[in-house]
Amino acid sequence: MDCCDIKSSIGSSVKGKKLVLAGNPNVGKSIFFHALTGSYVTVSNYPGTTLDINRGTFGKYIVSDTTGVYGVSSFNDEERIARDEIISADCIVNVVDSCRLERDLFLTLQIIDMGKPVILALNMMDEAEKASLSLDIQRLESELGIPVIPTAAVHRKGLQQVKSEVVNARAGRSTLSCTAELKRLEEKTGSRASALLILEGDTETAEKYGLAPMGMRDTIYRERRQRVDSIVEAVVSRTGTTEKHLGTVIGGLMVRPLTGIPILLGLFYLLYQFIGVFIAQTVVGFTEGTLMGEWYEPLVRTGIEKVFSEGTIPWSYLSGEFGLLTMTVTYLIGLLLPLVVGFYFFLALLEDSGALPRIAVLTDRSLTSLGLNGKAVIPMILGFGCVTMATITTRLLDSSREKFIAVFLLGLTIPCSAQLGVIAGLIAPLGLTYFLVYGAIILTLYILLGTLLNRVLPGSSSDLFIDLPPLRFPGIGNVLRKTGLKSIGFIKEAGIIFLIGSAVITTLQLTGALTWLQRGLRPITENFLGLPGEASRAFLMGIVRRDFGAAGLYDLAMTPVQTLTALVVITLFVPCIAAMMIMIKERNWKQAVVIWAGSWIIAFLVGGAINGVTSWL
Amino acid sequence: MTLSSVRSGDTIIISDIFDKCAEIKAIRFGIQRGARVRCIYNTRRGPIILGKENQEIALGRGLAEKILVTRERG
Repeated sequence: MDCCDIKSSIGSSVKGKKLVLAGNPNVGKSIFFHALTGSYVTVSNYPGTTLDINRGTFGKYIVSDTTGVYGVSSFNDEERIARDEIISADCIVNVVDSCRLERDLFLTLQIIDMGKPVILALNMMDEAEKASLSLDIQRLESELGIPVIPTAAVHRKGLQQVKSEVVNARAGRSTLSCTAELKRLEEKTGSRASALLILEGDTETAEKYGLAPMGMRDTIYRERRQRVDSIVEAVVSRTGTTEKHLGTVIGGLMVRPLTGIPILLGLFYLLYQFIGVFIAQTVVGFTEGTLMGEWYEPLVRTGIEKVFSEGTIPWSYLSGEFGLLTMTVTYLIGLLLPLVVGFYFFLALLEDSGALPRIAVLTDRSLTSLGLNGKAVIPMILGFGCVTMATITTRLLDSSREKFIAVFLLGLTIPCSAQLGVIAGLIAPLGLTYFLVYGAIILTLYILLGTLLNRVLPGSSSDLFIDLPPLRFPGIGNVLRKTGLKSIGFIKEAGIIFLIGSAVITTLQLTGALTWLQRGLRPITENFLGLPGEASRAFLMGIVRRDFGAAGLYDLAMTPVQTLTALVVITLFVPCIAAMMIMIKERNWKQAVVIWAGSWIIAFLVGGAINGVTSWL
Repeated sequence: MTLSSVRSGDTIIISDIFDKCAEIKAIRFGIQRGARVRCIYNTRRGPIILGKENQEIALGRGLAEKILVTRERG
């Protein structure tokens, strides 16, 4: 109940003052964060959620960069974090898109209504000029009652002025009509910001103070909307017509299926060339083959063997087949890291250019029949990079139901890049028909399972309701920074899990459980799937490393049909141990077990079906 | 009529939004009940793209069927 608790859980020191950057998505907040704090960014996990906040220092201020939100509330994790950060802030820098004031000022007014000291960075003034918009800055300042600084952050204009105006942050002009109720609640809670949220009906804030949430959100929101509209009317004027430029034209082509789908296919082809060819073969060939294979591993092995002799238990854990310091590190740094960096880079390009929301529009219709919406296209694409990475990304989906469907489909049907290379190598010699049949089987299962889950699971999924930012050239600095931050974040999160997973597998191996499992699996593999018995080892290896699983099939002599069966089974089979553990973290035990068991059953049933159908033909 | 049956290029006024969460988002975006918006593009079986001032907002078809609008003539 102590409001100071919030402050300490966010980790702000007693001495420093807290500065929070707030604003809608895609307004350029991160450039301001960078300008204020310099190059060092500490990414800290917000307690109780799975989202990160960037923190840094600016003079005597501790700066927090929040995720872009359109408003403050308890609707989802992003808004909760923004809510807590803003409530506990000593001053706020609100960044807005000067071309979209009718949208961005809503959050501004909410912050002003909360009574927090704030300054407004009127960003993207360069784009406003191009769009023939003229803004009466003085009028805006007097309407809002706070300092307003015009900026064009991407060209480093106005940043210095923002830095010097931070000290002048003040509570702005609030014109809400419910002043009596607001005052009453403020007296009870000691915080005007919390009082406003309780008035708006925020249950979590109300609970913190042991009060009942009030139902005034509708009234307050409508008043606020009217005020935004009248301010915009007074402040913004058009001095000419907006010219259509290339970005508008391409943006328009992207959302129309006739032109959009070819563009999408073109993007997939680029992705394939960049990741599948350049990274997966050239880069990984170097990092895994040369760097790790020829330099790192021999060095580490010699080092370990000086302390623990070969064959001993500590040696097995550190340097054995699934050694924590050998295979696991090689896998993480040699194979996964380049792939993850490549995918996050591609994703950042799509995000910052504005292409991603348009891809979501194109794919929305197909995804709704699977109980998802266009937003799910992001984890689906990332799944081809690393299913573990994609599972983390399902956080951006709105409902629990959608998250489960997405994670299920990811875990079962999407082959990650580690596997894809080996699968391609095994199926290519069999010719185009086999490749198409493999693809068709996996795709059919994806659609079937998604549709089934959508029919069977209770509740309903959320509809697409997103903003389409203008299509623009992505700023390379921002793209690289996002890529770096996300990749480091992934290594930190998944790294630990891979290490734990390897230790678990080594334990199974040492206790003989692995051999016992293999023996148990052989009859099913031979009789039901019609494959050589050794394939069962490959399946079990797939639990540790997806590419181990596929690679284990290389040395087996198999007919084309057997190869097809084996590859389908290995694709559908259980997600790797890292993906499983992330699944438990992101969803829960029950759901992870359902997915795990489900994939066993479905993989073997489908494999058995292929065997059955082909023997009958 | 529902938003899902609006023609590309039409100017419409939002009359009702039968989805609580969507209504809140709509007020924040400025496309709430009573707002005048343009239909930039209706993808026929997919999302509908609305325009308000410089904003472009995409709404899924399922949601568009829960929003009532009136077409503005002229």
